Amino acid sequence: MASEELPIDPSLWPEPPPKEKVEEYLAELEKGPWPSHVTELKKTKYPVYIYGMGLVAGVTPWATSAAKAPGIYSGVLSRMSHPWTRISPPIFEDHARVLIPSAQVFTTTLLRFLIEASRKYGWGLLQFIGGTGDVVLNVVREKLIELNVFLRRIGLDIGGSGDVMRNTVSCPGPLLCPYAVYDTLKARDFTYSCLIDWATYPQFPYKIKFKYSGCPIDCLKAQARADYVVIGTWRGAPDVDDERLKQWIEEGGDVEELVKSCPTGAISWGGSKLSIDGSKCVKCMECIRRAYPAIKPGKERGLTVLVGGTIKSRNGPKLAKVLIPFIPLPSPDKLEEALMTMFQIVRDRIVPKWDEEGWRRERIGDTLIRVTWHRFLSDFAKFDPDLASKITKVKPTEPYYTYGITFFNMSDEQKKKYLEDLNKAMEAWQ
Amino acid sequence: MGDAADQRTRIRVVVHKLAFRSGDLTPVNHPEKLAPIPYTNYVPETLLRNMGKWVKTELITPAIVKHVSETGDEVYSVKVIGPPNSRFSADTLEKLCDLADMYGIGVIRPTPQGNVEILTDDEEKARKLEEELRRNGFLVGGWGNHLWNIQPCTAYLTCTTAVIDAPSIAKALGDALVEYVYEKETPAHLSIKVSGCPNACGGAIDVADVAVVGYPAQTPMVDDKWFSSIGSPLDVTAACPVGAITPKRDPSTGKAYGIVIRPELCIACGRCRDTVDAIVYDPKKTGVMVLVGGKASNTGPNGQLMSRIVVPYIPSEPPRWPTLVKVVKRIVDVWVVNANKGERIGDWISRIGWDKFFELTGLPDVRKYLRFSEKPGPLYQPLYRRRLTESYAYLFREYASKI
Repeated sequence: MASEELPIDPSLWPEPPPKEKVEEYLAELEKGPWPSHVTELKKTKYPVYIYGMGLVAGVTPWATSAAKAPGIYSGVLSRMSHPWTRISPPIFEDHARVLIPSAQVFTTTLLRFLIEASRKYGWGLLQFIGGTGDVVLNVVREKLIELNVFLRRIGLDIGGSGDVMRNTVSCPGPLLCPYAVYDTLKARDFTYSCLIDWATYPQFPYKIKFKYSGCPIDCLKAQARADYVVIGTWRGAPDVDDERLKQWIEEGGDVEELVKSCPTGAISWGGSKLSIDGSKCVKCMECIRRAYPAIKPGKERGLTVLVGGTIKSRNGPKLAKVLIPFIPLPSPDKLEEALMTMFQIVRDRIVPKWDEEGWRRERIGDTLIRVTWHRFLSDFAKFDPDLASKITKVKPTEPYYTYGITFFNMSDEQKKKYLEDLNKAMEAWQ
Repeated sequence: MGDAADQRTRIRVVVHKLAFRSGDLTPVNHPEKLAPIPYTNYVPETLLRNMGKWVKTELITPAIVKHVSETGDEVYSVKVIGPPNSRFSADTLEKLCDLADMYGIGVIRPTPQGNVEILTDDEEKARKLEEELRRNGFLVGGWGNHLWNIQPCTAYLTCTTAVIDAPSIAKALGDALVEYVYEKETPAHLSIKVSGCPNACGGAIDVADVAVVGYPAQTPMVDDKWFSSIGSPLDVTAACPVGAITPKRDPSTGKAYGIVIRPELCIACGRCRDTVDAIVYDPKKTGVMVLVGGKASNTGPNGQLMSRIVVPYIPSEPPRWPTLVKVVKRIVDVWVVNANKGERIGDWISRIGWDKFFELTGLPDVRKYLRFSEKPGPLYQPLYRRRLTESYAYLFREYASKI
């Protein structure tokens, strides 16, 4: 293909690398004890050679494309081989994000259907599962609609890309974990039943993510990745069961160690009775993890709602801030009412305002920094102005806080100097 | 919501708890997404019976965890470490399905870290399953105080914005650290994230024990020819957090057709590359940086911790990344030897301090080369410059929106 036909300026982009080099690089990645993605890809119809070209050139071999999928407003992403690879006609790579069951519980029957779908309509390749929490299925462009109908038939759907409410993720919670304070799976199902319109049509400045973590351990890393985070928590001290504690000590539990492990010194041991000072407890779960079920999350349970955690954003990575410190959850069947309290603030106040004022491609966490925390509370969340000033003045006692990671542009001399020092240091390691 | 109720009545539960939908499901006729089926319709009986009743989790081997319920039921999850970016071929997944049916209760649970958990209800079966998985060439392990997994983003596999390739880094790091998955124990849970660019789809770089991030390390060049056909100058101008981008205008018509990036303001954050494809990085200059010591869990004496940059630049060396692997292995090895039991990297560093960290690892102290701030803001170092660029960005933004 002659270079003048390319849409790009060829002087800026790399030349297609020689075939031997590509194969050498790919073979290199099949060696070693760790599972190899290249070996997996070679079992499918994925054009692994293009990946190898990218590896050698050091530039991504894919460019943006668009697939025609009438009726599917989110969930399909399309790529074509980058013009610099000079593959003619270009190879298209389309994939669909599949919304999967809560807590990623796949019965083998369902998974076999999914495998069948990927063989029938795609390349026999799945990303099981990606960072967004949904399965990514490579699909042949012409069979996109058929795939969607098939997936709907077996109880799944395509969705979760573009400026919509993305896939909502919950931790396994009560399904497998003893610490979960509330039913995270139910919370996820409930989110979809309330906000299905948000998941369907792109209508916002940027994406919205909800994530549900069952306890303050936050295995999902929800507070770093989601706009609206719900974390299970409790008020006061953890609940101590004296009977079970006695049993735990008989089985070899070390109380001295347990008392010492508390970071704030809230636990005291009177020789026969363990007492925990609720005002000092920071919910670090240390004692609970050591002595469950003798020590359990406290009786007065509830939800903490945080707002504005993002990584990919204008102002860099940041952790979420506490919006509502505590929504009481008197019994597990009151979960939907408790979540409704949050949805009323998010759905009726914050998101419409963000829709109005947010810049394009600006997530709520960035808007929050731009308009300041105080204005966010009074104008976006529509809290009483007195309450908003009170919240911003008080130094937060909650265990959540936020600051950013910096990025910078190093000059060539700086880089050279740093690498010299690094090499010197590495020689000493031998 | 009459539609939703109608839809629920259409769901039929079959023997294997697969909820089929019927009727016209063509997206054109029914564009609204169908909500996930309530979990009670597909979760197997064994798990449903014990929801919220678990009392104990116990490590049997580094690959098997036992969950004990109040009712006396036991469930074992066997963990398989997936290939980088959890790319499974249909054949491999089918093999896992067969094993899950043969030894387990027919449940496979992929985790966001890229692992696959197979559930079973008997210890004998769990051990046999572990053996069988190993015989079939799967890597098992990673529960408890071990390396949980290395989670990369897709990068060159499908991504259009990636600066460097992440799955190959994950593979190279994995080969070097594979002993920590099963044989050797670490002081606490260790998870490593690899991302191809500062967007960090590979996992939260700010709360990972060790994060490797692709880093452009240069002011990008603009492919004017391509930009004029696919780019929107105002979109890209608005995307820049430091106001380093200005539209390039045709002098006769005043119409914007391209962009100019000012190198003295650029911080190489990659936001422009994220907006449009027609921005080029010189592959000879790109590299990675290493961040260490973040965690999202509210555990230990410190609660959540944000990671810090400890290695600002290592040039990219695909496909095996020798320098990077050496550096990460060094950090992990030093942590394993020096930390107390139960201390994650972040907690360990908080206890000994950053000076001691650089002394123990022997890495050059990064603070000598760069100055960091800890306040949120547009990704910048010194405060006075950040304020300046914030106002620049604001002015450009206001200016751009008026045209």
